[in-house]
Amino acid sequence: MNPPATPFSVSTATSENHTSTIALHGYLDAHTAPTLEDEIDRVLASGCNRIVVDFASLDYISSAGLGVFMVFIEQVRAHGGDIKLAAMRPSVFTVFDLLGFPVLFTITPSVTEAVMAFPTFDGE
Amino acid sequence: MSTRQSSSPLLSFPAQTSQLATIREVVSTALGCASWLPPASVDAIVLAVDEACTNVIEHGYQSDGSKNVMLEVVVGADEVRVNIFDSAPSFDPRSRVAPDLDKRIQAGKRGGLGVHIMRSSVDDVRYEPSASQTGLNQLTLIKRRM
Repeated sequence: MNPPATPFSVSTATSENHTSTIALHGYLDAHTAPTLEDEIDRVLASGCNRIVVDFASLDYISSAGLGVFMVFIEQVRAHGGDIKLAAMRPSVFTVFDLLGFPVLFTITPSVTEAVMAFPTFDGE
Repeated sequence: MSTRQSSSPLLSFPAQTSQLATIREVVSTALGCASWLPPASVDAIVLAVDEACTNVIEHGYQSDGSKNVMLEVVVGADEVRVNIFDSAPSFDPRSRVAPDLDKRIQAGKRGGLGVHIMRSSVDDVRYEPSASQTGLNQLTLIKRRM
């Protein structure tokens, strides 16, 4: 049986308030999680540690996807940044909620709210 | 247990994470027979199967694509069961305690979440290492009618 086409893709845009917004599309699982990991690595290497993840077009997530954020969050916060999560569909939020992520991560209804949740960039 | 039930054929997949999308689709389609099952429960079962198969593929088989993970979906009037079979070293997921997310983040660890998600997504998890009939490990995920 052939696997379903186009399981996952990411696209990154620079937003206001010196943030990078990583938009997720499709299905994030153990097979596709390395693609997201590579993208976050790339954004951090560019010098940006104020990251918003846009889940609006993400259809599915498993624990492998959540694990990516766990790996990066301490490192990002240690450098004064954060990874904020936005615009999740209810089925995706349910998975984050199961593991208690809302206590440890900022999760907002929209990308705009996540961007504005960062303190005003002071140019450091 | 219900006396009326239908079983999918035993389906076999190479132990590669690239198969997960197909596995999810197959399980979701098979669960279509359970007209009483709400969509959120279908999503929960599919997620549990994904987590179980990911665990077998990555940890049991060390992503050795020459091995196989097999599954069947059994739909009854009052419950659905997904049986997952493998020949990897036995691992009883029921033995794992719920992860402390904060500690795992501080340690930079990503693993250990899947088992908790799997157990939280279904009503019952059963495990039989090297089952007498098949010689394979058998994990059974059960979701009951509310």
